[in-house]
Amino acid sequence: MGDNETGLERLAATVGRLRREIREARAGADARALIELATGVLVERLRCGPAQAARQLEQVAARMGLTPLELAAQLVDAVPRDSPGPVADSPAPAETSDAVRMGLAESAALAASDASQVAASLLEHALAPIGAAAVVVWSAGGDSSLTLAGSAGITGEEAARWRYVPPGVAIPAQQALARREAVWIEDLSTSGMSSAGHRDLAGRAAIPALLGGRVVGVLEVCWPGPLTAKPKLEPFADLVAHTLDAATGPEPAATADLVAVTDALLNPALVLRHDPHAGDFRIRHVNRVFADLAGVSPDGLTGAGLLEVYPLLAGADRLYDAIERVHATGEPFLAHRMTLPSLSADALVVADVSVSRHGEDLLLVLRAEDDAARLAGLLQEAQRLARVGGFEENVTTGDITWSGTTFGLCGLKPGDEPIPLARLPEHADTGDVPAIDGFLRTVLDRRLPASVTFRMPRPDGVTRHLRLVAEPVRDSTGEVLRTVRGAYQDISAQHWTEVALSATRDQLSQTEERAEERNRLALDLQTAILPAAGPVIDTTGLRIAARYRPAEQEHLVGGDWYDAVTLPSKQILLSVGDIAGHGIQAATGMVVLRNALRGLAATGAAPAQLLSWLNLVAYHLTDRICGTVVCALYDPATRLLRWARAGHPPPLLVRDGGARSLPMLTGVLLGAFERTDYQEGEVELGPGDRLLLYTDGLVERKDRPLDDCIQDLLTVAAGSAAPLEDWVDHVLGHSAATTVDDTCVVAVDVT
Amino acid sequence: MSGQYRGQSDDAKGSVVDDVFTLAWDRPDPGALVVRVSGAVDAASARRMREGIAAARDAGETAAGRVVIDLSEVSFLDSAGLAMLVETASRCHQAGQAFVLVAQGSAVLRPLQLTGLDKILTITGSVTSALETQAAGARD
Repeated sequence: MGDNETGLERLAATVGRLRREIREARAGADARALIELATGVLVERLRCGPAQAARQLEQVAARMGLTPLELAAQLVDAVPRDSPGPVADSPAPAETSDAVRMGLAESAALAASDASQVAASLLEHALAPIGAAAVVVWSAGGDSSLTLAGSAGITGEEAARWRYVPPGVAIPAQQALARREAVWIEDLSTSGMSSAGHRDLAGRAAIPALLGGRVVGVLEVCWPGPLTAKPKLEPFADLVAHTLDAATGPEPAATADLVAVTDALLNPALVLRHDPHAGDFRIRHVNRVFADLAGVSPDGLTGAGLLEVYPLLAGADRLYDAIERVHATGEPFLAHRMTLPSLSADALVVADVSVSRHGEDLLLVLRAEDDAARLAGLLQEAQRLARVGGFEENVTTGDITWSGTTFGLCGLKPGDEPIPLARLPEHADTGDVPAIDGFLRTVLDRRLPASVTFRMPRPDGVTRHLRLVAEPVRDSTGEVLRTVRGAYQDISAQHWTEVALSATRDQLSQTEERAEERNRLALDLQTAILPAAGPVIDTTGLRIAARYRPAEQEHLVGGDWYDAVTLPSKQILLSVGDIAGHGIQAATGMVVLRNALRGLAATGAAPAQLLSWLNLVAYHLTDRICGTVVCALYDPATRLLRWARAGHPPPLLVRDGGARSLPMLTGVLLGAFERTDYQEGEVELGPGDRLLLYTDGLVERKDRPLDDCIQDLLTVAAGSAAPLEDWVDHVLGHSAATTVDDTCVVAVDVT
Repeated sequence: MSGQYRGQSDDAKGSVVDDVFTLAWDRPDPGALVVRVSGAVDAASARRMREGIAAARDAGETAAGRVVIDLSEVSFLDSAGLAMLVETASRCHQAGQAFVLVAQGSAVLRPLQLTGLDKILTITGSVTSALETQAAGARD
């Protein structure tokens, strides 16, 4: 039961995700056009490649707290307004132009691979327009020293001379670093300080570049003459800060530290980072212990979205809420004895959980309960839910202990000879033998824990997908013994979920084939219920033959039926009917009405009453069935035939070499109106009489009035006096019908 | 307000014309919708006729109080076509619209008689009389 539910939930979740992806892909198609346009703008402005421009767009958007789409909209929007020829006395275009200048400088700065390019692009796009002649980017060391990270507008030799400024040396940047605020120097030569380019650049501004409250560097802007105004430079300093930060590499030191810490932990731990685009947390690192807990390889987890790997986390699980809260507030989360059904698909995990924020990263640490009694209980629960069977094997002596479940998983009976690890390859699917060999080398030779997934064709002919987890047993001193223990787990349910999913996908891509399949099914249904030649019924004074002729084209299989059955009252029920329409719907409607009529007839009611009831059945079915039927009850004792029709051609009577239709009794077709009454007719049959009930497939012609068609049938029917079986084939064979409808007939000889 | 129905489109001009079947509609006065059908109404065309009538009933700013289906030019009507007429009559009845068939000639009248629908649906010999008749509408 646990297996099925888990499988179902997983299937539901995966299908849900696929649907969502398709929906997002559609919505994304519109957005993509705009983003491509914006990328094009950047390609042109930054003279870089499209890939770099796209990366650029993402980064700038992230910095500005916008989605790439919003930024794209702004960029595309900004282009026409950035065109030359702004009206000089209008303040609005000037503001716009500032914003665009800022945006472009930012784009260019982030595209720059080192601080010099940042300085150059800042100068070119943003600072030269306000009169600045040079830019110096200083990087702050942990000891308050400064390193010239990049410059523009000063010579290379000058930059080299100032490449390192030890702590305590008075330069504007040093002051900005110490005071954590902007330093404005009207004229460097009279300030008692020096700096790069001091000979010809007088005015200076040194703005601290802050990142998360920490000064990571200083932006120094130089003017040729004395400083007269204090332009707003902080945004450019922010830009410098991010550039210096990005320059430390894609893996910031904080993450690297965290990774080192998690690797040193004995508890399962993983490092997460929020991914605003995916609305999920990316797994940046998992430690070895966690990978073992979840029974997966660390490679499979790293880089994946948390919800991708553990979709059930998005549900009612408290853990995901906790992670989101910690990310938002920074307040650490600690919970004791949290049940985590979502971390492992196959077993419950009860653990103490700690979530904390470190910079942009989140650290999630689990401490699984190790209380022996709880563990035993948990194990039992897990075994029940997860179809896990334990084992222990002494590699030296060959002694093997299996739990009861293990025998079942491997298709053996308790008491059978357990399978030693070393002989596992003989029992596994040959394709999985290399994987098992690798697993055995790890466990038996290198004496390390390992797990492997393989297929086992069992003696009972069923192939199970098993996961085997094993670890060498250590004694209290930590020495590895020659004993290995672990567990087998049946993961077939998961496997079949995947199979079902891919089958669904295949089916969706083959709608046409499915339509054919449905038509075949309709035909199968018809022919299963109505053999092409019905059984010859020989009953007291009556001989009956029936035929079903399917439509010529398979896809036109309709809802025609015949029936001839002796009722408990010894009366004989004869009927033929025709459900409007074709295909599976008509065929199933046929089955419903035919069986309903049989059931109703068992009450002993007369034909008119039967049809009133049958009409109610047809009218109240969800897919309201519309159809016609003729129904007759023959009493062998009195030779009296009572009959009624619902929109159907009346039966045909052959008597004394002549054929005629029985009268057109009143009777509306089935399923059209809720309450209808049917007229009932009687005819006393005598020996030699021959009766034919038929559906309109026998007579229908598009180019000829129906009455003429029926007249033709009467002629054919009277034209042969062959025995019943041959006569039926004669009538079917000489049918002048031109439509491709299917046809049912029931013929009766009174003897 | 008039239109012709072409396949699935909302196109006000056009028609469903193939070898056997055409359909067009018209609002001779605001209270009446007349749908003219000609050709063979069989399993294949009944589905398109249902769509065409649905489109005609939806067209126009107000629903017509009376729906007239003119089958004068129909050369063949089989059980699928009859089932479709029953369904349409039922929908009109539910919407409070009178439903009138115009039929002449045995190709249409005979199947209607055979299936007993002639006793239940309002049938007239011409569009003019269909617009004048105090139609009983479809009986439930």
